[in-house]
Amino acid sequence: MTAWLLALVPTYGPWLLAAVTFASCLAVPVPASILMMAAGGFAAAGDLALATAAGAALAGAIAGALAGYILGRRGGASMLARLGDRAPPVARAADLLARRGGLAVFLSRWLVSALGPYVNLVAGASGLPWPRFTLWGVAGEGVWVALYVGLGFHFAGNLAAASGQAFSILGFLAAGALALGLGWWLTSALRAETPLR
Amino acid sequence: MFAPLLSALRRHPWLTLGFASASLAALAFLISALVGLSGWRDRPAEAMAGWMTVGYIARAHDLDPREIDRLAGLPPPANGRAFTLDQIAADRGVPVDEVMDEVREAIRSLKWADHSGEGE
Repeated sequence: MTAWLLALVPTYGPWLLAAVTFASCLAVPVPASILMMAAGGFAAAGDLALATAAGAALAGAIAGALAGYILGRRGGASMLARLGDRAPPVARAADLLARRGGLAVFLSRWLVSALGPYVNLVAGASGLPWPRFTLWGVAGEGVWVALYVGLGFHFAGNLAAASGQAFSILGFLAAGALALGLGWWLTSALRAETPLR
Repeated sequence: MFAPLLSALRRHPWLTLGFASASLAALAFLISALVGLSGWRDRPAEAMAGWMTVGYIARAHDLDPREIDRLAGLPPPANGRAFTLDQIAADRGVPVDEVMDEVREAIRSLKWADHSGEGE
C-alpha cells in the first residue's frame, strides 16, 4: 500500500497529505510520516510546493486531532470503555495526560506519536479545555510536520537516510529528556540527604 | 570529577545507573544524527521505484532532471505536474522496468559526461 500511496504524492500532493495526516490522527494505519518525507523529497526536486505540502499536512493533522477530541468529548468515558482490544494504549494515554496535561498532547504528536490518537480521545472524554488542547496540539503537529517534511526535503531522494535521521533525532530527544529528568531526580535526592550547615 | 558520581552511585545505584545509561544513549543518538547529517551524501542512492518522478531521481544523483528526460526520451512535467515512472510506463504501454532501464542509462551517460568533463 505504501508504494501505491507514494505514487499518488506527485499528483495529489497536498490533498493526499491532508487526508493521510487526518486519518493517522484517528488511529487509521496509514504511513503518514513516510508520505511526508516523500513529499519533502518531491518538494526538493521541484515537483511539489514545499509550503503547500507542509501546510496541507498540518491542516489535516490539526483537523484529525480535533475530530478525535470531539469524538472523545461526545462519546465520553463509556466510548473509551468500549474500545476493547485498544484498551492498553487508551490507559497509557490517560496516564500520560493525567501526569503531563497539555505537555502530553504536545509530545504525543511527534515524540510518542503512537499514543496521539488515544490522547485526542482521552483529552476530549476527560474534559481537557479545548483551547488548551488546540494550543498544545497545533504546536505538536507543527513539530511533527516540520520534522518529517523537513527531513524529506534535506535528504531528498533518500527515504532510508531521512528515516534513519528521524530515528536518531527522536531517540536523542527522548533519551535526552529522560537523562534530564533522572538527573534532576538524582540531584534532588542527593540535596535532600545533605545536612544543612 | 568522578567523586560526586561515585558517591551518587553508592547512595542511589539504580537512579545513577539510569541517569548514566540515558545520558550515554542520548550521546549515541546525537553522534548518529550528526554523522547522518554530514555523511548522508556518501550513502548509495535509494533504489529506483515506479512511484518516483525523474526530478526525485535526479535530485538523488545531483543531476539535471530535464537532461535525463531528454536523453531517455521521457515527457517533462506538464502544467506543473510531474509524472511518475509508473505513469510514463502505463502511458506508453510498457513495463515500468523498461522505463527504469532508460533512466539508468541516461544517468550513466550524464555521470560519465560529468566525470570526463572534470578530467579534462
